[in-house]
Amino acid sequence: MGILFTRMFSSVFGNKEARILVLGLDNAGKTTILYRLQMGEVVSTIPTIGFNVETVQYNNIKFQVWDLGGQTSIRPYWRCYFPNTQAVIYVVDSSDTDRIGIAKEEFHAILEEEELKGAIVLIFANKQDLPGALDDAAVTEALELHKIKNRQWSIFKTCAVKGEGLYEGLDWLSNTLKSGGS
Amino acid sequence: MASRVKEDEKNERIIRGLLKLQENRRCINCNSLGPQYVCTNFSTFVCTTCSGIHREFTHRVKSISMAKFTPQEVGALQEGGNKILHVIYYYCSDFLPIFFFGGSNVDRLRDFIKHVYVDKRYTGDKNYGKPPIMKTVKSVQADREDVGSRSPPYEDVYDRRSNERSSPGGRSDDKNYRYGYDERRSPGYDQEGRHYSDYRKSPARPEIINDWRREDRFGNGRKGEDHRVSDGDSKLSGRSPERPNDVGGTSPPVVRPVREILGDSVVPLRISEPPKANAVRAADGFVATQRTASSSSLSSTTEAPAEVKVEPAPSLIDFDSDPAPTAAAAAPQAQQTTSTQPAAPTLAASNDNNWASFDFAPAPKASEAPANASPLDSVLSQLSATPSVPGPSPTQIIPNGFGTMPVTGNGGNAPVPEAGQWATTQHQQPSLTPAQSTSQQYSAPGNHLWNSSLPPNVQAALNTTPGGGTIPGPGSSQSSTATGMKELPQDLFTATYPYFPTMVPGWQTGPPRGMMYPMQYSNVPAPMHMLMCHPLCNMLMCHPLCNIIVLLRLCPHSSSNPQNR
Repeated sequence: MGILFTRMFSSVFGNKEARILVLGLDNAGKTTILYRLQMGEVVSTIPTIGFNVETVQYNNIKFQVWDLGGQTSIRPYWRCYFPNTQAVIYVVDSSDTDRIGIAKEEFHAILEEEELKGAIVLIFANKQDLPGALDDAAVTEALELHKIKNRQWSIFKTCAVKGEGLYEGLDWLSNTLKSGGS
Repeated sequence: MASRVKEDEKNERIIRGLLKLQENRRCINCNSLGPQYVCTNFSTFVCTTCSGIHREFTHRVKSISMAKFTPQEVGALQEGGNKILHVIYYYCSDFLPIFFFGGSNVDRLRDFIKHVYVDKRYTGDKNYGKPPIMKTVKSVQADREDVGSRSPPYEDVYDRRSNERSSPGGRSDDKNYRYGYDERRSPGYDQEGRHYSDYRKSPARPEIINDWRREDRFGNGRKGEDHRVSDGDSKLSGRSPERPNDVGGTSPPVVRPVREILGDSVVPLRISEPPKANAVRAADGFVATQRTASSSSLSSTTEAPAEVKVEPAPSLIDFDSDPAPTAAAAAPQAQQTTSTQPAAPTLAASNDNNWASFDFAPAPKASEAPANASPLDSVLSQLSATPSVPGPSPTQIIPNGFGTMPVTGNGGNAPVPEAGQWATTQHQQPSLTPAQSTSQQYSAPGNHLWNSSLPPNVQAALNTTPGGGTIPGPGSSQSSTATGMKELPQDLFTATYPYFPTMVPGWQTGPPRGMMYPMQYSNVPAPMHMLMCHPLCNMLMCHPLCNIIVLLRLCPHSSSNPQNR
């Protein structure tokens, strides 16, 4: 009864919850983005072994954001977090052109996952402040985003250190989630 | 697939093995035990804290246990690893104190890392190489003396880390971070830079280096960071004032030990500080010779010795007739040439001393002096001095080895009353004045002290021991000096050798056995303050006092390294 009431209440006021995974290669800036979103500040991060999870309230949506470590050996464990995920934020280090190919492979491997079939995908072309960083179009090309079928996706240029582009991405995310009616 | 897994395992095994190497057992930046990450940009092993800082500078960091390494990376690690440590210290000695005292201080670590890796101080860029060498070496030496007191900060760090991790939102950490950032950014950053330059400008620092530094700082070094200039400048003011203190704090400790160490040796010299009456005597020919000498000495290293030999002849004659005057002459000259202050007195004192004790002992010294003087003038760098050493015959070498120190020191060498010596003294005088004036510009305060004070010590040892031995015949020695240096050295050699048996061979041959520190230190502290080049790691090393900890850590080849155990 209480749950029902809560649901009704939240639906009236548009409060939603969404479980979001932040994925990407190591050193892409996932943790920095997470804390930038959560606290609005840049924190000094160390390579994540395991995960960080925070809730971010934005546009009446309560995002439960899971930031998973991107080190090579722990990428296989990402799948443990896939169930019940509404959205994936895939972070790419735009300046790391050497590994953009690896980023692409990982990205498409994620998309293959059955448990993420219904998840929408937001790509952050991060580290735009660095010299030599690919812009969103180049990243789109490199990640072969045009191959994505049956899924809503969007890409944003971001700079986590400056906080640029992050909230635009969240805007898109929240709007899409709302309209998606999930 | 299976093969790949195998390869990964193999790589991991290799890396684990590398981790056991003693140089890789500590974080290259903060010296904390058990690095868990690899900075693949530089193939270094770093700790958790430093891995975070590296990431701020967009360096790529991999977890040893949680990442897979490519064969290339493994190879680079095998080649590199934390062995590059000594290179870093070689070029970035300024940050040694920060390194050793500030292991737990994230801001300082950040500075250090920026300085070393972002500004590329260490890369061995040939441009940087030259000028910094002298300075760095010296300061390294000086800095090293304090290392002993360094407290192991890692526990601290780890605690902090764990906190951060468990509650990632940690505000304190965040603040810290911004702090550091702000410092680097905009006004704060500039201030810092300025401060550094000032610091360097301070008497003891070489001008060249300033330029070098500044360029770097504001040129290349910044490019990566520009983008970061943005928010949170408000905190700038808070931070910048602190910096000077920090820096100041680091240097002073360096100075102190040196004085303490040298105190003993210095005192005796002063005590002997003699009869100014001699001053009156200031040899007539002296002045003339001196002028020439000064010009020559300034000109170049190679020339200096030759000229010295030539000039001595006349002065010798005077000398014989009037043995007493040397000291006096020296003093006036010093004043004449420049505004030397402390140097002149010490010189005179030493001279008198020697004079009184052995009238003619100095012959060998004359030979030594030229060698000394030349290196001084050439660069003032001990580096330059070392190469010069090998050149002369073995007998000469001995004096040289000792002589090098005095040269920089200035006052110490002057003492010998010989005609030949005069020549040398003259040489030194010119060099002296420059040395002194320059020393303020060139070397850190610690170094300066060290150099100046050290020589006396050396001298004392030299004078007393060899003096007695060489006493044989002033006339002969003089003639020898005038004609050729070889004869004198022989006397010297026999006389001195027994006294400093270990030193000579070690210094001479180059390859110090087992770093040679302990024995030398115990026997003859002063002379050992010379730089030594460890053959295996190519790094300059200094005397055991300074090495005690740092060097041992720096040099992976040293068997005496306590951290090996």
